[in-house]
Amino acid sequence: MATDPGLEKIQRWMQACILNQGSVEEAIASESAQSAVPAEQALKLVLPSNSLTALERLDIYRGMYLLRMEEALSIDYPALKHFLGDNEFMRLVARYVDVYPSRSYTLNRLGDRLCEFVATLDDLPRKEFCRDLARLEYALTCVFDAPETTVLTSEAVSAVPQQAWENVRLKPVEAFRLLEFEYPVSRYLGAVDGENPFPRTARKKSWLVAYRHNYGLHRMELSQPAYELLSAIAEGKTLGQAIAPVMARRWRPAVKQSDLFGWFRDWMAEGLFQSLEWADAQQSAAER
Amino acid sequence: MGQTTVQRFADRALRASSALAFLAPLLTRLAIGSAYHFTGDGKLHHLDRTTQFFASLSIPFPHFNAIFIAWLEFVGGLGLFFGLATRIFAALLSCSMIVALITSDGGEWLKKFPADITDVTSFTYLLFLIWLVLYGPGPVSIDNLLAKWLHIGGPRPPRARTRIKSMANRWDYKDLGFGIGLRSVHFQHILDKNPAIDWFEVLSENYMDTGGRPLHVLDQVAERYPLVLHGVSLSVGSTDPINFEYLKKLKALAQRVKANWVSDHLCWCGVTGLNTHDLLPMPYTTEALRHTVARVRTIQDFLERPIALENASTYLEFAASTWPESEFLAALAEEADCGILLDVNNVYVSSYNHGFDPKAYIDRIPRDRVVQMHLAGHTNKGTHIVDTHNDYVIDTVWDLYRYAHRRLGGVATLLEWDANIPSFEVVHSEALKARKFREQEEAQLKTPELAEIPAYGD
Repeated sequence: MATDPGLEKIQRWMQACILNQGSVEEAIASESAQSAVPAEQALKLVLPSNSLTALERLDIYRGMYLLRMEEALSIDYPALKHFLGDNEFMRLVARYVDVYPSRSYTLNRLGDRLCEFVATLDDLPRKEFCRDLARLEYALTCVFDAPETTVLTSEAVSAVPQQAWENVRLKPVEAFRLLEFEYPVSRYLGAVDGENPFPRTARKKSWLVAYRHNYGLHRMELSQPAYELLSAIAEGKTLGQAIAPVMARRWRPAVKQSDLFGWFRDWMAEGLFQSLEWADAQQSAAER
Repeated sequence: MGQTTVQRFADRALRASSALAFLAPLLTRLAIGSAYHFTGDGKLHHLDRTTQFFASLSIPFPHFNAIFIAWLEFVGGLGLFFGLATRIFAALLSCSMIVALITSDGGEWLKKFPADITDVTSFTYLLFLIWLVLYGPGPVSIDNLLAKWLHIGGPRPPRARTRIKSMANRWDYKDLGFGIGLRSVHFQHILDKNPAIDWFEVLSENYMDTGGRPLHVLDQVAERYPLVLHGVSLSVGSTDPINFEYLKKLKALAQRVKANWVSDHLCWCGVTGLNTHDLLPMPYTTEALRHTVARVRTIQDFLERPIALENASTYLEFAASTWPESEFLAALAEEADCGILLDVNNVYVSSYNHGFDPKAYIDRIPRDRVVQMHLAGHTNKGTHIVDTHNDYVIDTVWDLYRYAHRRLGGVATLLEWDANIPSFEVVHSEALKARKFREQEEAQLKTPELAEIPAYGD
């Protein structure tokens, strides 16, 4: 019996056994493993040790695989893990990596598709809440790793002529994500981090901006009008185009001019924008 | 990419002959030992006839020599049979065979040279005896048991090539001293306190795709300390295509932080485009060696620098392997012209899991290829050890580190601690134990000018 099917087949076989989530016997009998090495030959592929059989030795690698995946996703999704509990989270990880195994050289990208995967799981407890939590935590990982960009300076702001402000476009920094949720998931994450009490997990819309300031990761909760204004700015609209619809809508409570000034003060202070540009009024009118 | 039939046959034949090598000295000893013993017994029972025979050959003191030779053959035969004092008895019996060739056989045996020379029994015996004198009794012998019991023998203590203080790897990579892995839980301590540590090792993949705080901290650390990049996803043994996008980022990072060198592991991480994020074991075959050598060369060409490969901890062995891991690693380093990062803890972990001698493993590592050593804690599960990097280094591994230092000389040493990470001071003080052990080892070697250590291949 050939104990050396060649390097390529040995590697395909071992990987198939590691990724298979059944018992080790089921793993070596799986279609993917047998496409490399037939099950009856596989038993002779690995040597036993003095204390472990060949299959027990193979099982060491299989056991460590899921633990490693769980550890990586727990780092990026601590609130989701807290909400689901250890067992349910482990079950989610196992199902997720079965569908989306890592294809990257870094585990930092392992959870990139967890949000969309959670959305497909009808048997997940409080699926919609989980999906919002996953969206929030994924956005935070993106903000954490985003490239560092310069922050808009007061000199750049004061260089803008007063009459040009209506046509100014503000460009957000790279480490910036605007998020809208059906549930108060930011408050839930804050509670997991010990920043605030746990909120009720009933449906309640919430809006926030996640951003990085001085290399620290931050979340700023927004009102709906502030969220819509910031979204319009981030889409590249001029300040005039962004502010007008927000002020025209009837909000409860109504948006006052002082609210606008307060929002912009906070956004500038937190370094949400990296640069600005403006076109003169005539050019702007021509564009319209 | 499988091995050819000839290669497979040759590999297996060599492996089989190596496994049966113990039989050669054993069968020789049993055959000629019993022959001498019964011949000696015959002489003792017929001393008169033996004395007369010796006298007829004009051997001086024939009676005394008859008694001496009879007892030598009687006792020496038993010695050879059981492998006790083999070399001594073989040497004495060789002398008696030379005398026999000169006296009893006269010059007649020379006339049989070369075609029928082995017809002369004394000559054939002499050849076997010389073989036993030079090669010893083999592993199945009382001598071998005594040597192990008394801790004598083992690898031949060879003549030193290099003094311990002046030893260097072939690239003249510096002995950076004693470092630890750069971990995010220690970032603030390092930035605030500027601790007096020799160097840091950086996990490459943690900094290749981020523009956030980790990279910002790394830039600051790189300005203050020497750095080495250590990766876990190079996957040098994989049969997947080389990931040049990864290499491009690795090269850029190495240039950015002015890395002293770049290292990864002798392993594979995944195939068919997947990554298990584990350091999976290689089958140590000639095919795998050729495959990995070619990949390491390509990688080094791309990075424009030699890389160092670490022996990973492994939990299984493939039946297909025809090389011991240490010899595979040494051959890979020689043929690909790359360095070796010797993880002393991994040597111990794998030796426990597979039942080999960790010192013999270190003996096979070519000294001038070693640029760095690793130390770490592990978790003993009873049936096997898992390389968890979550605890202090155990005493056995420290002993092995001292042995490795004696064999391989002073190279940059790093303590890995990746789970349940304690304070910076605790990790650093554990790393500094390596300095203490090294200093003790060097003190035992007396003055550095005279301190000489064995060299690989001597």
